[in-house]
Amino acid sequence: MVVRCVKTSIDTDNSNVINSDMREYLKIGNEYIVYGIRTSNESSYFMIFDDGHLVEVPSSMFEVIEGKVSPLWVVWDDGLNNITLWPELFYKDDFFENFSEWEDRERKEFEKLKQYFEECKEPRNSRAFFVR
Amino acid sequence: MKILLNMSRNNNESFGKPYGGKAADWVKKTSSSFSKNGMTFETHWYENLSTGQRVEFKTKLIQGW
Repeated sequence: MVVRCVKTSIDTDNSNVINSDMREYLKIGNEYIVYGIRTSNESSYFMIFDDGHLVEVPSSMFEVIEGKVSPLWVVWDDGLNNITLWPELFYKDDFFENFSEWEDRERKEFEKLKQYFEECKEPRNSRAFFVR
Repeated sequence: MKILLNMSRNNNESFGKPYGGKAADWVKKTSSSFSKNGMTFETHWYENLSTGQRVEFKTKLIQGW
């Protein structure tokens, strides 16, 4: 799944909406691979990789330009109004904490995942996912 | 500043206890990366979105990414 940035901030009075101002990081027109999706009471988010970090950004900042769902995504309902569609790697205990700390193990694991998602961007490869 | 994770997820349910508030109120934030003497750094901290309290600042040396 690939999205294009159409705005870099959103107006909201809800302090629970995270990363509502990404003007410092995103650029309108740039394309981003979506590594996961989360919906919650306050918003829905795309998980993108930018400037060395995985970050959840409100989905309303993007338009979907390639909407194929990753076969690696696993659905999880945490019972707290969060439903996630993430690769299994993201559900590992402390993955995000360690990844954000630049731990080698998590960085290497993500690098493999990243390469896979990048290969999936190619139409000739992504077609194979639907032929099982 | 961008939010890297909410502390109520990823097995961090007890994060807020020493500082007050629920884990769900706390997020981990990072600054943009910055360079000094040819090395790249970024600053991390935890922030309570309800109260604005910020704790555990640290600056990390970023290598090889």
